[in-house]
Amino acid sequence: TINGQTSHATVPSRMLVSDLLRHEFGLYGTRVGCEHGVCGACTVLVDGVPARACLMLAGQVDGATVTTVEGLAEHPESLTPVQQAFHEEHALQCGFCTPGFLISATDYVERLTEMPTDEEIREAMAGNLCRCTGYQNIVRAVRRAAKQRLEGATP
Amino acid sequence: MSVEVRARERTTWVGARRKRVEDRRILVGGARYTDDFDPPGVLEVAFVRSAMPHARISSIDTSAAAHTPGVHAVFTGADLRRLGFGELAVKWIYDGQRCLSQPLFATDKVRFVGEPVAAVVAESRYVAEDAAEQILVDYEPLDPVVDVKSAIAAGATRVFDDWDDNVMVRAVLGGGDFERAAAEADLVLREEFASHRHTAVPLEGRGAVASLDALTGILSIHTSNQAPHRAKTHIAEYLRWPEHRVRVIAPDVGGGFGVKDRAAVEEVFVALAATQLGRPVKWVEDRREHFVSTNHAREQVHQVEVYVRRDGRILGLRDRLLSDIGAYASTAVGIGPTITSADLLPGPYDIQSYEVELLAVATNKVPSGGYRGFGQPQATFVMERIIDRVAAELGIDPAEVRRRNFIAPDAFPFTTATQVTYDSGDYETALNRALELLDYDRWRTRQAAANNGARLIGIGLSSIVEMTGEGPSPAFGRRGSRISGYEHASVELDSQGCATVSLGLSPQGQGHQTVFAQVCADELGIHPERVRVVQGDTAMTPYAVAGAIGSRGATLGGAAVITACRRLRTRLLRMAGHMLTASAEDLEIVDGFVCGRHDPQVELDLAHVASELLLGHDLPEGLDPGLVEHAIFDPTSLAFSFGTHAAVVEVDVDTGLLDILDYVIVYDAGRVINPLIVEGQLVGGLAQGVGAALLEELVYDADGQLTTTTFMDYLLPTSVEVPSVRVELMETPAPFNPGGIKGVGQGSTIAAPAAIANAVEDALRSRGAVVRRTPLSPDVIWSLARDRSVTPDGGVP
Repeated sequence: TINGQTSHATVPSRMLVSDLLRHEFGLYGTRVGCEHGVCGACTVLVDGVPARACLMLAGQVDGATVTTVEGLAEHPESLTPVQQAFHEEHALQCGFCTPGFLISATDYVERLTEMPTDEEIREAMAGNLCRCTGYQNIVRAVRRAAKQRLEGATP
Repeated sequence: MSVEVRARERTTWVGARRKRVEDRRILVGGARYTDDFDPPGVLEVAFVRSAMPHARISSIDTSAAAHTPGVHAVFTGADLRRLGFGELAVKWIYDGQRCLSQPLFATDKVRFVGEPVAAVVAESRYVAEDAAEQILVDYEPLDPVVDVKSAIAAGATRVFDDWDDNVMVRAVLGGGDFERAAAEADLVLREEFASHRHTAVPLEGRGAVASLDALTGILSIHTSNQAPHRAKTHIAEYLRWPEHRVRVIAPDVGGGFGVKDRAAVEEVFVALAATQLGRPVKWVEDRREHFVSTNHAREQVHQVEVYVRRDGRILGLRDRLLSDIGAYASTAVGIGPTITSADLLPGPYDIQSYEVELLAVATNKVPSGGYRGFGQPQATFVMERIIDRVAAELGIDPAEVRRRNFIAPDAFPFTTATQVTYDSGDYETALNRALELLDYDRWRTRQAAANNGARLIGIGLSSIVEMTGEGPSPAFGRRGSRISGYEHASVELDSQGCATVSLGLSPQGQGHQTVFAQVCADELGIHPERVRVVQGDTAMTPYAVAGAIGSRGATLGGAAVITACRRLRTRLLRMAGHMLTASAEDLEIVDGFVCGRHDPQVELDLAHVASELLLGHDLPEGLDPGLVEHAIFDPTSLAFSFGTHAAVVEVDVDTGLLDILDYVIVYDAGRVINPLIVEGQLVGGLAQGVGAALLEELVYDADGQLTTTTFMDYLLPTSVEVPSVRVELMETPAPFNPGGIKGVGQGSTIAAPAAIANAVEDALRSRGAVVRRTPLSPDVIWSLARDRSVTPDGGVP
């Protein structure tokens, strides 16, 4: 299941999940920045857990639930709070790393139980590389989204 | 009944923190980069790259690869020669330069690890890579030339057999009265500083997808590029095709920072292969390829001699600059960054006698080229280290030494010893404000208190100028470059009063669509939502060859948009005057309406004026119909941005680890179009500066192998290493630009390495450390804390 839709493909055994998503299913939002699992641009959720699509073979997601950046918002016209926060805080420039950051940040913000410090946010985002923003605005965006989720959750 | 008529309120969009219009597509995964284009029937390329730094090619056996199922073609240099294709010309040739071209594929000998030797074109990249492994290249190894100093030693192995040494260019720039400087000097400082090899590393690598339309005969090339018009010209020239049959599209581009300033040998090959095979052809580099083929940058050694008066005033500066160019001059910029380092080394300082002898030297490494700062980070590192060494030697506060040497604010336009003219500046105000924001005195007190433990505090300053908006065009010509200084914009208004702005300039994340809409909105008196900005496609945009390089987008692109919009506004107001039987001088456009300047009763919807002018049924005498205007803006002068970075670091002398405790940027980029985006550029540039200062290094071993070809070896800074930073903007309008706009893209990358290096030396002052080289990795800091004689190449003698 990819972004809520059941999808089928017959592919060579060595095909990477990143290539499967992009070139078989046309989900180009998942980016390939290093193909060795460091940059995080290809991060997707596999069964709800962030994973590097460039380090997994297509066969490994047989039967799994995969969420890509295209599947974050419910409608193409709407943005999730994390996406909106990235816009508000100017947390993206060229945008190549952004889908990976959005997946990591969405997962992080959803798992929070209390408001993190900026240092904790920086630690949590350290698995994704950005070459444009200098991270400061990404930290602000994650803080904004975290605040919104935690304050929204508190009665 | 009376109607109250209120004057419409003018909204000024330039200067507003407008959120980006580019974001939505990116946030939902809808941006499209080069690798996202998979035309039907596309074939993919894998290059065979040299595993040897320096070797003669005795034979290439492609037979097994050619017979691999799924392979459509194999090309070597000999094949290209048979097809009548030569080498790719270098487009920036300095006086007396050797190395005027680069082969697409090495034929007689290879000159760096990663140099293309052959290419396989196959059904998929997977198949192409398999087949590429089947290609057997026989090499006769030669001694590699890996180090710039040994490259210029007598009897060194030669990278090019037909040269008598390895020097591509030797030049002497600047001048002055050094006898007098020596006579008046109280101190002569002799030092060697070195800037290490590192580069831009955008998260998206290079790539190209080329398709030939058999019916129209048009070759379309999607390529991750900063300068699509330049790529089009050079590809057409190489193929010997008319330019109108070549269309280059830079779609969304995942960062450029200088290394995507051209169609390099790989992109040119993709275009060539598409024309030969009649099928779409694609190549997207992987990260290892990026490290071994995309241009490197910044490796220089400076041997300086500085004449100083006891009050800290620098009277003379002599430099011998050894620049490690790598195997070929950049086909886009030649040795341009080296020339710029030499030209701009004195930075914001008034140094009457300055002379530099530069040697641009060929080595068996990846060719070097432009990277954010274009030679200025290296120059700044040297100059700002000199300032701090002078301060330390004379026991004067480093901020005060800067003040005593700055070009005075009333000295502009100021022409340097290398004949570069600075347009405007107020360096001391920026420095003083940075010190105030940092609370400099308080940190000095804390530093003194912490001076005995294992964790030492250091404060580093870096005051810089940033050369932006390079032009005028003849100035490029005088330096041997085949590009121009102008930018070209067109603006067209439709019948509803909505504008389309098109520019030859093309973005890689700078927010051009947002900022040019702001500029146009102010000039035409409409809301920026009524402006669409078109870029990146040579078939849809006016020609401008330079591209988004050297902080020219906002300043020159902005000036071109302003000029075109003003021409269009003049037409609109003439038409409106005709319709209202008023004088055009008494009218203005506010909020989408033509209004009377003095009479709020006069009002006409801009859309009405626009549609009448498009129809042309009833025009004032002498006015042609139509609503499009073009402007080519060629600057009469460079625009120099400036500012000061101030860093506070804490160094652990036991581990060599470093923390950045505080960081302040005060920057002046002239009139600011959008502070949100300018601050984004400054903080983003800082991250690259932090990487350059502390982490990133392209390391060659003694055998000429590049040992840093993954993100596990070449360390980009993460969110943990880049500090949080306070940014404050100053605005000294550019005097020679209609919008007062200067560029900002490179400033932080220029300033940051020097600020951090100065802070590290300051922290280790009591240990006698002298920082002569970057990067300041923990082992280097650990050594500096122990032995003051760490040499520029990192080793301890």
